[in-house]
Amino acid sequence: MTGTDLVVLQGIRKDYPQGKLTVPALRGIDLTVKSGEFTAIAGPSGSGKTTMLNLIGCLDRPTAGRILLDGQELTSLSKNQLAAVRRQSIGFIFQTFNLIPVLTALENVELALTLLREVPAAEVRDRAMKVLAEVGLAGLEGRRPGELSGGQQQRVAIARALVKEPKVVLADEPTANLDSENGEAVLHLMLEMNQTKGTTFIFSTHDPRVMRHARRLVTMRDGQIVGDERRNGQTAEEERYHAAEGGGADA
Amino acid sequence: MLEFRLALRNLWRHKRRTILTGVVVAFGVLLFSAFDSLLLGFEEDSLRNLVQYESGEVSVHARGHWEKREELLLDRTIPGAQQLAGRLRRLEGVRGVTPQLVFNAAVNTGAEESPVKAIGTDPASDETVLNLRQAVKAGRYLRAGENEALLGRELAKLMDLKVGDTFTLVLRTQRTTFEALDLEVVGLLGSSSPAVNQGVYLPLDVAQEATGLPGAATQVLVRGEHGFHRLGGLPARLREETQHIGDLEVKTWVDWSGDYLAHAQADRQNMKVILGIVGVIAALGVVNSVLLAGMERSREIGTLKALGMTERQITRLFMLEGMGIGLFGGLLGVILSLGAVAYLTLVGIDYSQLTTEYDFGMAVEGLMRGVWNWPSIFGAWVFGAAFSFLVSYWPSRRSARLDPAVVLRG
Amino acid sequence: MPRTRLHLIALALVLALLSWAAAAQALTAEEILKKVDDNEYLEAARLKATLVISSGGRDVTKTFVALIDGDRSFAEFTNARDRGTKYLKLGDELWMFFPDAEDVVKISGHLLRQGMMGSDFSYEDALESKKLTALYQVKLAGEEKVGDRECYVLELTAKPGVEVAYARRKQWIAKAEFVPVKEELYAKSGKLMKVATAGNLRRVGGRWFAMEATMENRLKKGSCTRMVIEELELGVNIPPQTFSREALHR
Repeated sequence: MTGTDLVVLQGIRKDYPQGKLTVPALRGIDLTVKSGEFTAIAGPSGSGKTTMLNLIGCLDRPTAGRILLDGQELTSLSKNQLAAVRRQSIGFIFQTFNLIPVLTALENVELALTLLREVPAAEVRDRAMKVLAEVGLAGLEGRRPGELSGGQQQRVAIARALVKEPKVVLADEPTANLDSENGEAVLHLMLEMNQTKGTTFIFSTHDPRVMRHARRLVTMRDGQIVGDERRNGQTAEEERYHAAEGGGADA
Repeated sequence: MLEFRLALRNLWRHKRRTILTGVVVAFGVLLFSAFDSLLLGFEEDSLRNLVQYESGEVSVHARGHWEKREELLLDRTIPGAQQLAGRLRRLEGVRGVTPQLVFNAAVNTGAEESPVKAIGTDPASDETVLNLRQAVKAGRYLRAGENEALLGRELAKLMDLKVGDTFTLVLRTQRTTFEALDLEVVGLLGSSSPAVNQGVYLPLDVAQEATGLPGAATQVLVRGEHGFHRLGGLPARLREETQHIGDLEVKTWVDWSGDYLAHAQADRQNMKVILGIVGVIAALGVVNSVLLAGMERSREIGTLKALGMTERQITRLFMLEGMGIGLFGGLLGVILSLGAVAYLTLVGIDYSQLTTEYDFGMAVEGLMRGVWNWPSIFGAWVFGAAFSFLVSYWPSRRSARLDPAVVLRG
Repeated sequence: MPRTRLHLIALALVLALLSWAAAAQALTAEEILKKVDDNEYLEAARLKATLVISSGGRDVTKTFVALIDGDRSFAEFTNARDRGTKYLKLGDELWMFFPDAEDVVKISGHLLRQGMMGSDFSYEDALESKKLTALYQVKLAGEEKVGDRECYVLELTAKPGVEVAYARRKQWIAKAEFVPVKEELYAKSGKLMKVATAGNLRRVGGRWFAMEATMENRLKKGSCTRMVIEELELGVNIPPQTFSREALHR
């Protein structure tokens, strides 16, 4: 399951100005995530996990330190170059789903691909439809977010994140706004994508259920990493999952 | 395509705001179209007045007279005017020819004296070129050889003269000798032309006798067969014909209209100022709309950035929405303009209370009529859309530059 | 010789003498005008005058001082409203100085025809007599009394082709003084336009002068101008630079 060093953070610091004060959100982070990992970042709110995800996702710049994504140094890239990286290599899943309200589910998913100019329109449609089917939303493509439940919306978001086959998917508390049933479902979906496609998942959470599924648990507090647990065995959930699928990838 | 779709749907989603802002733009388009229509109507009217009451369509003058025509001097006149008129009548495309003798004079009633422009006109031929006969509002038209005159109604009012009264026309002959003619007012003239309303018309032969210029004219007016907008080769033919005769110059109504058009230009400038103000208001509306949209959708902007959309693309997205407002508002404006211009063309605006006080410098009566000017109306629409597009640049860019991290945090 | 024949010869002689005397006395129109002209011609003169312009029931009074030497003259207005306004005439040319604008304007063309300073006297109206003989055909039309003065009546008709303001003029010249006491100015159609009357004849330096003159505009009721000469001196010492355009600016 593990492969190359996909995401590398070295000596990352991030400060935020708050009025006249500067608040340090990250105080020296060193972290390496390998490709294919299913890593959770846990910690109380204010611990800096969202900040770290934003940095990895090129949505923000560190005050100090380096970030490498698949060997590419992100810290020296321009705004437009960072946008390109996000376009091509990073998928996002948000706590508040963040679907474009005026677009249908299909269009929301297509959007991610359309931004990649190289993909021809027919292919865009095909891939989007396929991924939507994979997340279990076949038949609901024409609905707008307003016509979908929370769980369905998040699936669309997942589809949107995955349709471009990104290097890494960053999910910021993806189940926080879902009930337990939907939350489970979404989690399983993410797991499945991780297993079947080998997509690297990094997500932040303070939901213990989510933490339980993670193969690696990075704990943060006050802007620092205080724990980094790898669980090499499968969790009970994963065992059940694999049994149902009838074999799969290695744990 | 995607951007258009997004813009359109977002505009639809916030219907009320789109409509409200659109209405402001519509108002700008409407105002422009209405003004434009009126001004053009004004111009047309006054040109028509010029041609029908004063200048005819083409005119012949003694060489050197045209430059100083404002002074109404008698030093350069056309001799043998009736013979010349006869010759010109035979030319192709000529509907009518009439000689006139125009000179400085004063209307004297014993109690008051007022300087006027006196026009000696030929009752036998003037109706083939000018509409003076239609302008007779009281009394009757002139008869050749009689010591009588027609007064413009404003002049008559000023001098307290009515049909049947007699006045003395004081003038100078060609040799500067005073002449004082007792003339009977046989009719009053009223039209939309201030020149007619303030003038004195007497029979040409009487004028010629009084000024000591028998048979002469200061101008010979010609009317073509196809209307003054379609003179065709008529001026050229007249030039050719008069070349053989002597020291004559040919001018067209365009030459006469110089001053009139200058006024029209001035009015257009004024209109531009008004529209500038309206434009600013519309711009504020659009900017406001786009800014609000950006603020409301800050999360969406962050998401788009997360998806890898560049700031440029996001800016363009919002600018398209701004343009959409312009297109919609412009369309609304066009529809409203259709109604407004139709009203102006068919009914017009009556401002007859104003005209005698102001001489607009252009010849118009109390009714202002508009004309249809399609290119203007649609041009305003296009302009409205383009303007909205450009004006939304700043608010769009501002919205696009939102820090996505800020926006997506929790 | 018989007595009757002697009487007849004496009678004939007396008649002849009388007619010769009469003939010697009879002046031609031109001669009359020449005498008038001699009276008009002033050399080294200074006069002070008042103008009263009446129009529409209102009266406006102006005063001026003028220096005259032959066909040159220089006048300056002295009443409050027009103080500083000056006229200069050299031969046929006329200039006016406006003190407010500090501007000298040559009066020509149609400006010559207007009443000077708003009065009914225009430059053209006051043409000198010697000019009249050049422009008009003059005819002695008899004698009439104006007031209690015996006058020659002259009829002046504009010569064909000349540029004059009045087609016809009629003048009454006082026989004893050779000063025009009345003049009628006619338009081409024969309509009477203006009537000038002169009075208060005074003998100054060997010639007769009318100290008062009135010009009445017959086309405009109630419109007339009266000029009264208050002082008239002859043989005055006029500084040499007086009749120059520079003098207008001073």
